[in-house]
Order: sequence, then structure tokens, then C-alpha cells
Amino acid sequence: MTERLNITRGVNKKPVATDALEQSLKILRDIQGDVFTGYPLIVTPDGKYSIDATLVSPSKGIVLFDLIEGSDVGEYAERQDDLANKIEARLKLHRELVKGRKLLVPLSVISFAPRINNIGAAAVENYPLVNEHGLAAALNELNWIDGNNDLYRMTLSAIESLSSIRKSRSKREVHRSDSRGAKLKGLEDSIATLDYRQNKAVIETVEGVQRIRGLAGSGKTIVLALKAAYLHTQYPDWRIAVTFHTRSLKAQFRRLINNFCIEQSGEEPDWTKIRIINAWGAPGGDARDGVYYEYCRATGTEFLDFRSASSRFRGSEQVFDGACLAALANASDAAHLYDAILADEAQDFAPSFLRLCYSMLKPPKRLVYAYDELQNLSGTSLPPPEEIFGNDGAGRPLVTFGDERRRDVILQKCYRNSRPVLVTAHGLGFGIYREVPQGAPTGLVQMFDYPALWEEIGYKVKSGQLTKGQHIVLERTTETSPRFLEQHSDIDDLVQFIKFDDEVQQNAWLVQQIQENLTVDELRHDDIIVIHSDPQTARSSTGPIRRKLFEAGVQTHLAGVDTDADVFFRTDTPSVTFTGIYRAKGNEAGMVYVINAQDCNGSGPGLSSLRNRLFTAITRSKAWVRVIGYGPRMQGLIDEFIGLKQRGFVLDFTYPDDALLSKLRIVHRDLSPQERERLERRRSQLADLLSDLESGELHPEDLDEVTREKLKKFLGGNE
Amino acid sequence: MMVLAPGTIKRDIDRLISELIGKGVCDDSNFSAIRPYGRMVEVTFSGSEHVSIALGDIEYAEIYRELADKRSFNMKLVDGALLQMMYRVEGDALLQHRLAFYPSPSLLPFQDDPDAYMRDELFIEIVQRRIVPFPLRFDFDAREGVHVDAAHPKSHLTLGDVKGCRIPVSAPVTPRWFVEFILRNFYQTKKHDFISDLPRHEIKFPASITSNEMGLMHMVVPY
Repeated sequence: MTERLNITRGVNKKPVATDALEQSLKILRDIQGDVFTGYPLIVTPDGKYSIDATLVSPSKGIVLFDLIEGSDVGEYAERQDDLANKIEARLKLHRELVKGRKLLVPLSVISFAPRINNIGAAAVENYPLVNEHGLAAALNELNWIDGNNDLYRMTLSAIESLSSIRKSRSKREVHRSDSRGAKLKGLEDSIATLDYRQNKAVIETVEGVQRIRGLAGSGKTIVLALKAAYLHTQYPDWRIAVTFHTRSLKAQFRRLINNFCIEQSGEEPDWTKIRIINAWGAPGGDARDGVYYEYCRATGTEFLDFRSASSRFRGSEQVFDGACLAALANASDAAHLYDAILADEAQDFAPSFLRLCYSMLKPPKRLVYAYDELQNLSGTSLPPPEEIFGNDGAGRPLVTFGDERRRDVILQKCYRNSRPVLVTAHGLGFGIYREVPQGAPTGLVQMFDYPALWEEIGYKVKSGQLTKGQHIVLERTTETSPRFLEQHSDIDDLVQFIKFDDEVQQNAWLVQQIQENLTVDELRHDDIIVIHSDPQTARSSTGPIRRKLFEAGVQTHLAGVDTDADVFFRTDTPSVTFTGIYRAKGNEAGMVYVINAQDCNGSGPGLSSLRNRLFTAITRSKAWVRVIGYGPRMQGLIDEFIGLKQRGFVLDFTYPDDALLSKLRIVHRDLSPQERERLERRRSQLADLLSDLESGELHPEDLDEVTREKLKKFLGGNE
Repeated sequence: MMVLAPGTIKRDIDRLISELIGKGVCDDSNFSAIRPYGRMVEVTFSGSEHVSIALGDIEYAEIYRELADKRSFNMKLVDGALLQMMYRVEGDALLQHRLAFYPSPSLLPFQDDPDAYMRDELFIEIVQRRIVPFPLRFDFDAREGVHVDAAHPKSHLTLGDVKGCRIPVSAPVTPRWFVEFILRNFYQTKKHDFISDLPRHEIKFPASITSNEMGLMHMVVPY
């Protein structure tokens, strides 16, 4: 049973009474369970109801609180009846909580009025009305005699699911119970409700900055969307922005927020108040608006579009950073345009963008940013908040989380990828079983600087020690990777790595597979994504495959630079999605094909980026993934995968020590175009030198003694 | 003169779509279809029923969005431009066609930054469009009472949906010529060649221009 009282602090319009209730409940020793404030929200034919506070306790059942801020209790008895009836009606929809026509859980209502001293004068018989002093006594009256742990858990989950919804895109028609389509349907039904942590993350918003971290597939986007909708429902006047990096997320956010608002309040959201906008943006009306563009307009700062920013700030990763920094430096006016900003995919933004968001917020600066530190496997994705947001005039950090868990939420469970899929993505992303290159100390491509991060993202030490320099075996538990995600299919079917002789053969196989998926497997077109890892060649490489499919009568589309449509998956027309890696981010599908995967293998500079792409591509899969390619580099990936599979999908390696970690960072680092060019030039000069030496055009003796010695030393040759 | 079969036009269109998809310049497409239309036969695409909205007094960005949302196109190209091709055949003769090109009102034209498009760079949509985009349309109408010598040539080019703009064209335009015209003028660059592998010409239409129209500035389809 629960040890004590867990409190999930949502928002309601009665902050003073809520605080008083919280304080009063905390000092009660003998009460266990869960308290939610500002939750749940339900909609009934009479309109929307926001419950001020709810206690779910194994010894008391469900207690709803009617909070009274002032000294006027109003028609409180009527309110109590109303609340109890509405919630009872909703709970009775959960069959496991009902016996005959009776709810198995006692449901009570207490009106709590901390400002009223003379309670007796206002109270109506049989309708508990208390202040701080009477709360304990009122709760003492309530007893759930037949309660047990199972029933309590089910009640809690029913209360939590009152406000959770994840509708799949459209109805799925399946005729065979064992087809892939049927399996996907089962999966979608199983993950339709939020878990405890997700629900807590949705409801709790702090006065200030909040960070939400989690793996791909842990529900960050859903949490953010529901949070935005929750805030919008509670504070319809607030200006709220929801922003993101990948444009294709826009449609998803819109759908989720819309569904949730309707579910909670019976009304569509007011899109002028809650805005789903691009991070960057450009002139051209609402559909193209963006956070940065709005900031420039409001502060009268020069706006840079992609082209002008690219020509001013070299290196495409830094372009948006440059634009944000310039805007922050030049803005003379403050522009407090929002009450809350929620930023998804923050790992893809430079800190300057978050700082820009921060400066656009009215006090108390409610900024929520979600990120996946693994999407950037180097583990250096975003600096700590103290560093991102800087210091105030007195040298104190503007934002710091301290030990406050509410400010720094971690979602450990991964609901998208099954354990084999996720461990494969990590195994290959880090190069855990990569063959040690000649002369190198390790085959690892990259590694987290902080070993503890592994546990935070849901791995458990199977054996060894999670410390730098030590041997370690890590596994995912059923707690963080629920079993039902992998049980629907044979493990050999979940992940496959396949090598072909050449690209033509690969493409022919793919075309045949997709047709089979659509005709035999009962998959829908939008259950399939084909991802090409190299953005530079996504168009030219996917063209021939799409052409073949077109000629076979299968509709496809390439997720492109499409401004107005804002759809990644088309719901209206059956069409298979093809995409480069950038536009694949944030999206998911049942069947994922990662094509030309050999491009994600290699050596030297840039390898960590290549492996990150492979990681991102694999983690798009809700069920099955096929990593396909050709040539020796594909064989390398297959060997790594076999190593992983033979060990039963655990990560078995020696954690690099500090020296090796910093070496890894250098060896596989990303190079700017200029650096890459310089490196290429040097290499070709060296090759020239070698060929001159070989052909005898140049003799070793032509080099001076000192140079010869130095060369020997660097290359580590034998004496 | 050859006998014109709707199937020939459809094949011409399908081959072009196939080629453009293969080259990575066509991001999205609708299958073409042959449908009876009264006594005529229409070669068109699903979504063609929404074409008429392009004719009202609506702002261009609005028209474009509507067409894109309703998927009223044969092809959507790399920079968001939409291509529409519709033909009506009566007996064995062409009666009408409507070939339209709708560039995206917000994205840069392909030729302004071809490399960024082909490399599928992120953020390429974040641009201020400085050139005013406008649609263009090759219309052909041989119905009695519609065309008027010199004032309303049977085959003509309309720029920017401007009402009185009807530049005479020597003959109806085949899908193959229309697509080449668009690619050559708006997509071809030194580095990016979309034309040389286009399927060969299969159709020839007889001239429809009058001598009065030939006396004006006009365009010639080189059949």
C-alpha cells in the first residue's frame, strides 16, 4: 500500500484554499493515498466541471473537495450532490469498479472553507463543511471497509484516466486476428491511457521553468499537448504557445489538443489563445507564424529568414542559434507576450531559443521544455538550466531546479518501442558491439558523460558496476519497457537487419514488402514509414523506389518542405510516407523501413552523427523495424546486431574512463563544412606524399631528420 | 492525322508523373483517371471536382491552400507548386483542355535555391517570398460559341488568372509539352537536369490558331 500521501498539484481558481487544504492534509498522519488538485476535469451535458481537489485513499475511498475561498458558502449542499452525481456517473463506466448497480468505492464530498471560523452557523446536516480544524474529524468519519489494494489501484487508474485520451488517427479494419494490422490495433488500445508519471506531468505546472525529460516514445509530446489543453481549459484567457522543431509535429499537436479540450470542456479550443506555432516562423499569416518571428515583430528587431540567416551564420546547425542570439542582443523592448510557453524537442534547439522563449513570458515565466537527451547520443544535448538561462543582476541563476522533482520530470517508461527495438537502437547508436578498429582502444562510438543517466532513462544494472572505467551489463526492465509491447510478435520479427547485394536489389525487396504489408498484413498506408538516413540524398535515393510503387499502383508521398498542408501522415488519402531523417523526428509508425543503412556506418569524424540518425530512425517504430542496406558497411551493422541479439538484448561493455570519453568526443565529432574540407585537403596531400614515396619520386631522406622523427612518433610506428 | 484516344493521354500523364517521382522532384501525386463526362470522355485526376474554386475572386494564397488541401492536382512538386492536367475528348477529337501551374505562395521558387531543395534542408520553409507568385494556365476550348477569333483563341495561355489575358497558342498542348515547359522554365538549372530523360512525345495535336491570331504575338507548340 502507499506509504503516505502523494500530492499532484494541478491548477484551479482557488489557490489560497488549495494551499490551506494541502497543508492540512499533510499534517494528517494516518492518511495515505493520492491527492490531485485542480483535477479531474469532466464534461457533462450541463457543462464543464473542474473538481477543486480529489483524494483517493485505500482507507477512505474517493473524497472530492469543494473549496470555498471566501466566507460565503453559497448553496454548498447542492454543489456537493452535483459533484458526487457527476463523478459517480463517470466512474460507473468502469466495469471493474461496479457490482450490480453499485459503485464499489465509497464516494464522499467535503466542503473546505479555511476562511470561515464559525463553521456551525453555515453547515447543513449530513453535508460536511469544515475548516482546517475540522478536516481530520470529517475524514475520520469516512471508512472504506472493503477496500483492498487492487481495488484501490483500479480506482486510482480510473480517476487518472478520466482525463486521458489518445485517439488513433482513424478506425482500423482488421479481418484476421493474427495480421499485423490486428496486432497494431491491440497495441494502440493498450496504450490509450496515461500512466501515473505522465498524468502527474500533465497536471503539474510550476510557477517558473519546468523541464520534462524522457526517451523517444515516453510520451513527451502527448504530455505537452495535454498540459497545454489542461491549462487552456483552466485559464481560457491565457496566451499559450506550443512550439516544436519538426514541422510535421504541428498536425499531431493540433489533433491532441483539440481532442483533449473537447473531452475536458466540451468545447473546441480557442486557437487565438492557444497557439501551435513553429519555432522560427516567417511572414505570411497565422499558418506561418513562429515564436522567433513574433519576437522580432514585437521588439522591432530585424527578422532573418532561413536564407539571410544562412548567409550570415555559417554551418546549418548554428543558423537558427545565430538568428536567436542576434535578436536577443538587439531587442531593446521587452515583449511579454505569453502566459505559458511549451517547447517540444528542445534537444534540437540551441539554448538561445529557450532564452528567447523565456524572455517572451510574463512573470512568473511558465516555460515548459521537453527533450530527449538521447536523440543526441553524445549526452551533451542541452546544458543545465543555470547555464541556459544565465544569471540575474546579483549573479544568482535565474532558473535552477534544485531537488524539486516537480520542476524536473523524467518519464522513464517507453511506450513506443519494445525492449528489443529500443535496446537495438541504443546498442547500434553507441556502437556497443562494434568491432574494435585496428589500433583503437574501443569500438564504442560515443557514451554518456554521466553513467547515472542510464538508470534515469530506464536501464537497470544486470551485473558489474555503473562507473567510469568499469565493466557493466545493462538491461531494460519490464517496468520501463512494458512486456506487451514485444509479446505480440516473434522476437525475430520485431527487428530485422537485412543485407543486399546492391541498391537495386534492396529497392526491389522493399517494393515487394510494402505491397505485401498492404495486401496481406492488413497494414494501412499510414502504418508504414520509409526512412532514408541521409537528408542530402533523401530525394534522389527514394525517387526510384517511389517510382516503382507508383507504377504498381501504390500511392506514396515524400514528406517535404510543405508549408500549408502541415501533414506528415495523410489521413484522407491512403499514401505511404517516405522521409529523410530530419522530417521523421517526432513521428511514429507500426512498420519502419530504414533504407540504405550502410550510410550510417563508417569511421572517424561524423560517425556519432551517423549513429544518432540510425538511432532516431529505429526509434520511430511502434512495432516492427527493418534496417536494410548493402555492402560491407551494412555487414558491419549486421554483425553488431547479431552480437546484441545473441546476448539477449543487454548492453555489455566497459564504461570508458574520462580520458577515453574525451577521446571519443574528438574521434567521432561533427565537423563543420570548413573543417571537413580542410581535413579532406590534408588527407589528399598525405596520399600524394605517400604515392610519391612509393613511386620513388620522393625519398624519405628528402624529408629533414626532425620531420621524419616527428612523423614516426605521431603514427606510432615501431622503432 | 492520328486518332486521339483518351488512353493515350492518360499514358502520357502517367509516364510523366512516374519520371518526375523517380527524379525526386515530385513529392506527391494523384493517380489519373478516365471518366465519362456526358457524351465526352474526361482524362482527369481524383480531386478535379474542386478546380472551379480557382476561378472566383479569392486571394491567391487562399486558392492555393484550397487546392492543396483538397488534393486537387496531378502532382505536387518539390517547392510546393501544383500541376493540374485535364482533357476532354469527344469522339476522336480533343474538345477542351486545362493545364495549370500553381506555384506555392510562400515557398521560394525552386530555381532560387535548388541545392537546398534537393538536399532537403531543414528550415527551408522559413523564407520571405520576395517574388510575387502567380499561376499560369494553358486552356483549349473548341466548343462552338466559346472561342472568338483573335479575342478568345481556341488555345491560349493565361497568366496570373487575369481575366482578359489570352495569349494565342498555335495548337492544343500535350501533357508532355506542358510538363517540359514548366520544368524548363521553372526548375531546370545547370546542375539539376529534369528534362533529358523525359519520355518521348507520343501525341501531336493539329494546329488550331487562326490567321488573325498568327498576326499577333503568339506561342508555337513545335509539333
